[in-house]
Amino acid sequence: MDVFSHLVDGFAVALTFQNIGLAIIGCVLGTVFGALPGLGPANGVAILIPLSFALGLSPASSMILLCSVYYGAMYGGRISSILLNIPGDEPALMTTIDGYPMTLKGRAGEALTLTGIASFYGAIFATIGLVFLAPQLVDIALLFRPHEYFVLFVMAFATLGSASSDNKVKTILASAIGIAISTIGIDNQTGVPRFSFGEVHLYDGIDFLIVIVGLFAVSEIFIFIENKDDQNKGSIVQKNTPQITNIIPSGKVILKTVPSMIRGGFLGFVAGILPGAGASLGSFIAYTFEKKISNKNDTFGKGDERGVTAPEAGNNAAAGGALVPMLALGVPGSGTTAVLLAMLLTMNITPGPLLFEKNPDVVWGLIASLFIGNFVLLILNIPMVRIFAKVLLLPPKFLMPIIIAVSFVGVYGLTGSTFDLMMLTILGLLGWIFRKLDIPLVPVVMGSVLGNLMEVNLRRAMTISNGNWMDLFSSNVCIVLWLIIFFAFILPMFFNLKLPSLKKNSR
Amino acid sequence: MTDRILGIITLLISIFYIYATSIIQLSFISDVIGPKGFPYIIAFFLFSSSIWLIFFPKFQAIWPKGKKIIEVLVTAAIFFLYASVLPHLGFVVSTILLTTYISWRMGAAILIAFIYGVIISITIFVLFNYVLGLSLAKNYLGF
Repeated sequence: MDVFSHLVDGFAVALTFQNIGLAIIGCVLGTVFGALPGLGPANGVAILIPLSFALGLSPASSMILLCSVYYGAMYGGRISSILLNIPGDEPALMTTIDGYPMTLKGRAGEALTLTGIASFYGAIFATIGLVFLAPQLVDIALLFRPHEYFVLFVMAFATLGSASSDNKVKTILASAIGIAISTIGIDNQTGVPRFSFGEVHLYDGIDFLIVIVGLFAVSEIFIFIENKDDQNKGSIVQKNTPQITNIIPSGKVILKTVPSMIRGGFLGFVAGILPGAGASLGSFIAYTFEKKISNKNDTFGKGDERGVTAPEAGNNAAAGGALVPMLALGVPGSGTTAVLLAMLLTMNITPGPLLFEKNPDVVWGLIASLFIGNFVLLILNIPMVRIFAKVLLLPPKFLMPIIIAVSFVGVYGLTGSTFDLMMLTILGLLGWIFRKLDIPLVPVVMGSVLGNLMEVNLRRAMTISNGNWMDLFSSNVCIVLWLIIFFAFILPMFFNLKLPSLKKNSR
Repeated sequence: MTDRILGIITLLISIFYIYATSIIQLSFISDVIGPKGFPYIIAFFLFSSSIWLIFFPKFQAIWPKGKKIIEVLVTAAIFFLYASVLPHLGFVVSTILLTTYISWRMGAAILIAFIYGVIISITIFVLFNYVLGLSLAKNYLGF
């Protein structure tokens, strides 16, 4: 079959010395980023993007490095959820509910192994799904005109709004701010400067990489600086990491959890494919569903093994699922995939159908290396999990200086401009203020990444249609997409499908 | 209340954005929508969500107390300072100052923070400059 010959080519790309090395480095860094509370996949990928440019990695190699970090963070997030009852990153929130009670019962090692297996299953399932689903989606996407693309981008923001925040208005506001940032600079269709107010540095616009590193990484440093005194009292440093004794669960327990992994993986994958929804939604749906069908003896929330395997399979599968629309349509399914999209765009590669035709090495090399990466992650996260549990003891006073120095090195290495470092600081402060005001950061980042593409597609569509706006509602695909937009905003209101807010739990 | 203030600020920003859109010069070549159309659409969403926040505020932010705000602002000032001295002092010296400050403020004793800052600055410089071949800012002495 066609897919398999592509996959063989992909393994040829992935199995070079450099790319295997990058995959392993990415997996280790990703697990560390995931394990450390406060630093998630988005921060990890954000910090490394400017570096992978500055180091002159090829698009395929950069994607391999960054997606390994992304997958690794999905594995690593569970470690502090289970051991410390603090989610290592947002998708790992659901794992605390049954994971920490297991630790209190002295079963931390078992919980880590089971979730390791569940993560592996979820990720492999999603990667196989990616192999078969993405080419199908590409065939559909070939029929898309700029009209459909524009509506698709609108849909990404709508589904994001339905899942990410309690307050939908703030999601709209955040998206608008992000898109507004993307309109700064020379208009690339007519060549007139916009919103630059005569400042030469702004003619090129504000690079979305700087927006990403500023909002995600630098603002996190301000949060740490602000909460440093509370932190010494409460969370990471003073709590002793519980002993991990027996890491091998009995065969009976593993068998008991298999159905929950399968269900969780499937639900997570579906959640991941929805543009804008992402891994947090995947683990949330997987846990809620598992609790509904398996909680017969009221064991959930008290350390039921299925309560950790389902959300872990779910969030890993969702992470893989989110890559499907990102690669096949160029529409990211989550914050981190938006960051990955930003990287591809900066390398002059536009994801979508053309990516599969013009740069098959990027797509299939990436997919092949995800398979390899998952085996690496399985080893890192089960036999070697004790080493990563030690990472949790690394105090912020030694961690934060590294994060800030590497963020600055990356951006400076990329642009060589001190103006951009100042912009980075301003955006970091802005991100800190946004967090205080409960404005979600992901829509801002997505807006700054997608804004330009959105505008280009809208203007092309209107040029084709001679300014007839009703053409945006004319084709069947458009109508379906508008219906999804409608239901993504209205349905959650009825079912009250809200993600529990992370802030109350972790900070 | 926080939401209401936020709404007023973003309302002002959206009005400014609309004004700035209106003064975009038109080029002699143009497409159907032109450079102003899309910003006007975005401005509409910015404007209407601001109005909504002003009339239906929900969220009350918890602001940190004075000392913490000063701490954050001073850190931001240090980052600015770092950006401006970087081309003159070079990467190693500036980054030692930056990392020492951060480590010290995060709770390390100042001497330990300094030693740690020296170690990671030199490590990063050697790693990125010599091993990975990234061009970092250098001072007149070459580091």
